[in-house]
Amino acid sequence: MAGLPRRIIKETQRLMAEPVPGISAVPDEQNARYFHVVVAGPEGSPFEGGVFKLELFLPEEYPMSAPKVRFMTKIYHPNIDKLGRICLDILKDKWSPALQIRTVLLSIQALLSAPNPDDPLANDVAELWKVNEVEAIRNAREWTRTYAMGNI
Amino acid sequence: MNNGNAHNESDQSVLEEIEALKAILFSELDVTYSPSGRPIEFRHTLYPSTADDANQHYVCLTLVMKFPAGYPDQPPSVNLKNPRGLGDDFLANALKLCNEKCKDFSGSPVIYEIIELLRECLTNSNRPTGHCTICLFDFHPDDVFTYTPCYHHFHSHCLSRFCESMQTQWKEEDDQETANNPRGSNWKEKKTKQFTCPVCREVINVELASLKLAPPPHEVENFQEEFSKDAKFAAWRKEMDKQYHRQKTRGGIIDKDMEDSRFLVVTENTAATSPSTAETPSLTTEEIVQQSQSQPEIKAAPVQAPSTSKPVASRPDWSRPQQHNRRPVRGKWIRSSDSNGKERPVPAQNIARPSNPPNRQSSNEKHNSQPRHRAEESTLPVAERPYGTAPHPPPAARSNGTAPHPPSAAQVRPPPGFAPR
Repeated sequence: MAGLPRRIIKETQRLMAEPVPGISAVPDEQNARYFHVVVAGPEGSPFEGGVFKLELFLPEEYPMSAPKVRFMTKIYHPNIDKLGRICLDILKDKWSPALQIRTVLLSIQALLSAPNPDDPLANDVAELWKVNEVEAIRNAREWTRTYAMGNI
Repeated sequence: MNNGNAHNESDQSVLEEIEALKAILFSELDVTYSPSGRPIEFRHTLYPSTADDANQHYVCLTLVMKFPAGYPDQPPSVNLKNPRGLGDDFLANALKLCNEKCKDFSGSPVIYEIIELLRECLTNSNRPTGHCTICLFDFHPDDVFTYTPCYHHFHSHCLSRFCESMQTQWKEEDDQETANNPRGSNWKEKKTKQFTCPVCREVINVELASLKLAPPPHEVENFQEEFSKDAKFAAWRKEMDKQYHRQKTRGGIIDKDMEDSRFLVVTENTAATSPSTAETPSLTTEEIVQQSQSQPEIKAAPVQAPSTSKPVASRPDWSRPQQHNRRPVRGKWIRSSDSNGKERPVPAQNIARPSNPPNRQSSNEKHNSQPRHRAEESTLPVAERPYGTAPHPPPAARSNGTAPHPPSAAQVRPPPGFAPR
């Protein structure tokens, strides 16, 4: 790999200097393209109070191709599957180089606030979310409490 | 102030002011009226004063003024929307000047004064002062830059890289299409392949050949800094690791292997990733994600079937393990080789269809045809916003319905005063 692209250095600097509220993204010590990410569950969502660990990787072509992002913490969400994979258009065909690590993570945080069971990745979750939203949200809270608490 | 007469007087005065503006500006104005016929809002897109030569406009913005009851005795509110090629400093300063002007002109018509003031500001800043959204570096006077008909600015070099990358992607899609349908029996609708603005996704015309001639941006070339890992960095990492281990102890971390075995998949091959990712073991899952989510193509494409992994029974095609690493050379990848298998790029066309990829619950085909994602509602990056608020398009994404008729195509054009190269 011939040097880290300047853009990645620049993004990293800004992520560290002006972090997005509720989101931390820190590069790995050995691999500057791999980021350790923590996203706080948004207020007012069933994920509130949780801290969700994600991993983010910038492929060789970045920023011409999208970063790869995955939840590492278990999460009960219709657009995130058991392996933590995320169904989000900007990570796929709607990627644009005008997007950045911070905007991607903000979008993911927004996805937690606004689950979209009509476009599911986790079908069982989506099904319940549509049929019985109250129970689905209760499950999401339960999962958050069980798996995603940062302290204790 | 609150009696009917005063209001009527105020109404009359705004109406007259608007009428006068129409005459001065020689154009229809975008004015919103109240049910009673009183102008309440005025919008106008402004350009630098360059003797009406639209080719010399590098920046623009839309002025939005609202007139409270009692205007002009009550000051109007001024908003600057859809700024193009203008930095935050410019906007803050221009807005401040506008508000001062409104105060100075309290009691008299001020709309034209504001228009003149902003035109002057724009004329003085008639070159992009923001940064290129592709490389994130500022526009240096030596740089060759270009702007799109939607008034988004890029270094010509950066935009050409973007376009070339799009072309590569299209070619890969075509190649794959050919591989899938060797006889050319293509029942799918051909996706139109047009360059779109990286910022707002408007279709843009690009003279790629001339863009390619542009040198790399000055600041990118001269940027020497390296990211330094200071104490704050170490503290963050430590805290993150702590959190991770706490969650792991509580069973909160996704166990990839276990989930994989529930899928009845074998993915050991994916462990052999490129050296640069070796220290980030779980990334291999990520690679699978990319792979599987764009996978349905595989069914129809035996050519694509990777020879890198053990075929596993009772496993749907989407989760077929496939070894693939990052591509070292853009635009080239090798289909199947154990040591060198390259990640299959993720062509938009493929992804658009299977928006609900792998899932062991059911195939739920019906959703495949509607790749609507939540974030798609806004065509753009989700702007930074507080928690819990609904997603909304950032200013740049909002319609530029008031957008001007700009130059016909994006072209390499040094701004006035910039040395031509």
